[in-house]
Amino acid sequence: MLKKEDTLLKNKPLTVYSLYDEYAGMLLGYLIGVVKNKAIAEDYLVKTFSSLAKNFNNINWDEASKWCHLQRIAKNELLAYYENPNKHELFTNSQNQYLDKMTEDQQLVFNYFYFHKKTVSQLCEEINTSEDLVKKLLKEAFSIIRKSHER
Amino acid sequence: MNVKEYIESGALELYVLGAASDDEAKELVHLKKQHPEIEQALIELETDLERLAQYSAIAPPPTLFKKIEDDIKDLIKTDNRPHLTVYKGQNGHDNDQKSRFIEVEAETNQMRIHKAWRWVFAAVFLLSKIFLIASIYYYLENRQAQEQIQQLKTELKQYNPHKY
Repeated sequence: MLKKEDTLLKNKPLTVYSLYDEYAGMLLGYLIGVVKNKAIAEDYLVKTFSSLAKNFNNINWDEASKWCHLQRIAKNELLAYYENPNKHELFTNSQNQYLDKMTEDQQLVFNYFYFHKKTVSQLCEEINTSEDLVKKLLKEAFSIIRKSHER
Repeated sequence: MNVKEYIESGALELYVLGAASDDEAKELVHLKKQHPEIEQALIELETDLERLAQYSAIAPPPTLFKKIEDDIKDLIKTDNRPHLTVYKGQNGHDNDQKSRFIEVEAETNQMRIHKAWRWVFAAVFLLSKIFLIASIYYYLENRQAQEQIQQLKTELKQYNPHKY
């Protein structure tokens, strides 16, 4: 009979591996965008995929896209990083063809939700603005991403 | 509900970024099952996010998956250790009375059974005592009877010695 760990490596990693194969590069790029350090980002990538393997059967894969699920797991793993007062500033300008086309406000709102695990009310409180304006800016940011791709 | 207005409200963008509240997320999951337009809009937003991530993708070092495998093995070994559960409050804080105790699961030589069994054990004990007393009583009765038979035989021998 196979030992428990052998079973997991022979069955689960087939799926975990396929997700790794498809999304590890994207996730590493995303994590570097958050922590601004490749070694730390790799550690978080390991943590994200370990957490994924552990909770694999509890995830409702039909609820959202695989990438969205992975990004949410990564954000959960990053909670300790977000709480660290010595963390790097998240809202620095990044070299990204999509983000570069956004205005400063659109980029601020988009980056806040994209890289952080926070709610609208928290952002509204932090930058002293209305929820409607935040939603409007976010919507504009998404249309810029879509238009940039279509060109 | 006006579906178009809902799609334009920005609620879907917040949901795909994981910034919607629990109630908003539940409402959206419910609505997307009823309205294919909402589901389609969500798929498009998820694709937008995926494209953005693809643009900033960086290939991980080839040894990284081995690290993940090792981490998974460590997690399994940790899970196989005896369970040690710390009670926590709803928000994950040790804020109730139980949090000061740690539940430890360990093997014991003692056995726990239902309280109803005590009446069965009492009845068995009582019956065993009754049988013991009864058996002693009938043993003594029998011995006395045997003695009387022996005595009668002796008396008969005395009266009719030729016959026995």
